Amino acid sequence: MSQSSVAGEPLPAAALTVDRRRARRKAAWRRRGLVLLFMSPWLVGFTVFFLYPLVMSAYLSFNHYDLLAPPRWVGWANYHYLFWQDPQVWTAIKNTIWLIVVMVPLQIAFAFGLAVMLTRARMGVGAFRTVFYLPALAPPVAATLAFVYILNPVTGPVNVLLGHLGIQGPLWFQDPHWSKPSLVGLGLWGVGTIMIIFLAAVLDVPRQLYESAELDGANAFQRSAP
Amino acid sequence: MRRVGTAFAVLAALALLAAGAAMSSPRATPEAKTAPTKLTLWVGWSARELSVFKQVVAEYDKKNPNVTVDVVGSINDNKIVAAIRAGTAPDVVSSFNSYNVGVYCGTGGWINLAPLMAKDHISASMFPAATQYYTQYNGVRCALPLLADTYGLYYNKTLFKAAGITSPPKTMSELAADAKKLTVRNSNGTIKVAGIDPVIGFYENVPERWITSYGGKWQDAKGNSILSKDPAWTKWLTWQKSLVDWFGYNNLVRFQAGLGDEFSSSNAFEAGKVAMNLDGEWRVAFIQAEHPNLNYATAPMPVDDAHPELYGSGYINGTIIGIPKNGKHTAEAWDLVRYLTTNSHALAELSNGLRNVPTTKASAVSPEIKPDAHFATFIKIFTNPKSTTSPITAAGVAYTNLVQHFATQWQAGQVKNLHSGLVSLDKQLDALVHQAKGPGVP
Repeated sequence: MSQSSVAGEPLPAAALTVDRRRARRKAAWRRRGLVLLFMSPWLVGFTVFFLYPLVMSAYLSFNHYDLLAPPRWVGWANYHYLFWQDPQVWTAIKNTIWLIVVMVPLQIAFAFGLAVMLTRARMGVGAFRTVFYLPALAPPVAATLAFVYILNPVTGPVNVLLGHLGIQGPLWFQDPHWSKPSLVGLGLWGVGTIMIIFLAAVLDVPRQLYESAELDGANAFQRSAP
Repeated sequence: MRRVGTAFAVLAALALLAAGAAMSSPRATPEAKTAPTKLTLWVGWSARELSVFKQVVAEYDKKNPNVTVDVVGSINDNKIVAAIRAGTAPDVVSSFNSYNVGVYCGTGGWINLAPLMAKDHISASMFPAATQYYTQYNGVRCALPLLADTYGLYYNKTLFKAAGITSPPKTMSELAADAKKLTVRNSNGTIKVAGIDPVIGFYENVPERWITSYGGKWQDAKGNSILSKDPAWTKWLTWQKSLVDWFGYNNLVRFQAGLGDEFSSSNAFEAGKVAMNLDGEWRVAFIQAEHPNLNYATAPMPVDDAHPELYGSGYINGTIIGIPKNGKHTAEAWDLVRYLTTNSHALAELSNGLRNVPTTKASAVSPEIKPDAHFATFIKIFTNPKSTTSPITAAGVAYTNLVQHFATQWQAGQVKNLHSGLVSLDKQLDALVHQAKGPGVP
């Protein structure tokens, strides 16, 4: 079947190529449109709940905005107050850095250690895996409340037990020196999700590789290091 | 025939009169036919307290058939601000935080009530000075007081008797001495019963409620912070630290960790774990409901030894009510606000039900207020002309929070030099207010 014009005359080769290109472009746009249509729920959510708030937060940080009167441009004034006049900002930054530097590596090391131990266990692997993972399922608020109860300096079971041993337990969450380590304890308790990721990775390595590494003289750390 | 003519003339005159009467009261007939205006009122109260409030509003509803009021409870300041911003605010709003009046009046979020008050010949002088102050900001009165919270000393008479103390302390020296006498320690030195817990942050212990006992000033005439310049602050903080150190800061923290929640029946004063406590008038109702057999009494807070004339005064703050901007029924909303804040009967009913202090001078002496010796103490403190409140600034509650933050560091021994610490705090407070107003605003 040959291409023909409306009048029945055959189209020249150049016009035929242009038409094909147009059709291909049209089809490509249609495909893109379809992709966008399928992606639109995510795109709408991303724009409304992430992109717009992000851009507006950045813009409003250069404004004086009390939420009731319209925003007023103030340049860097808010940042000047934040870093040079607010007495609590640097304390918050220091505490955040402390938690990142101490808690994050500890969580990773602890989760990895648990994962390696689980691969070595001969019996009850399923039970141990469940026990170590379960805390990750506890809602953070409930877990925190439970820890506040357990570590209560007077009525909490930890200090009561320490008291029976003749030791006055610390003020876990009330003492600035103890509160961050206590939070680290809470963080370590809930490493189940990270542990599962490590466990999957460790189990993915064929046993033969471990054996050959051992034969090559790799020590335990070298064999299991990620 | 003449009679018939006269009769027609009389009938015609009567018909004209009737028509005239109907025309002269055009609102009567249409209003009776149109639906009443629906007002929405947001309040912070919930549960039992909300039903008490609704009963009083129902009385207003009954007296005013032209409106129906829908009361919505459990409202906080975040919801109020969000609704004003979104243009969906109700006709009338009420907030528990008189601290935030600066925010509402300063931004125009709540309308200025002064013209409405002037039109109805209502003077702010019908309220005590402290409540007049905390319902305005920079001369803009955008709120009126709707019941007040007044603070005083609660003391356990049984523990007082056991310690051989016959009357409540009236000076800070007496308070410290009595607190030491009333304190009972365990064999390991920890606290079993505290005479008083002076730690800032414990229950109702915040700086603004203690500094009243010293007559401390917050700001100068220009609005600059003067905490380092007014010796009252140094005096109070020194007294407080000295008492904290006598107990041992860690001992007090440990003691507090074992106490019940403030708003529960395990409250430390109600449970006999603290012999004296700074608290608000509402505690009377809590004790009545939770520990009716508790042998206690109330008194004004003790005052600085050098200022005995302050005895009888105290700290006041309370619930405020106003009309958000862009409301559709301002006249009706104002009528409701006026009724709730100035009608002695309504205030007495609310006070009896909620056991908060009624806010006009007239309602404070209303015969409708249920007599109660414990509660009467707080009405006296409320009407004392020396009673004060905290400063109303553009920063809202953040202003007093910053002072509290300093006090908590001080009591924990983290402030090396009190004077230089207060100088630094003054600068921080001024910067905070400047920041809240925005650059370029005096």
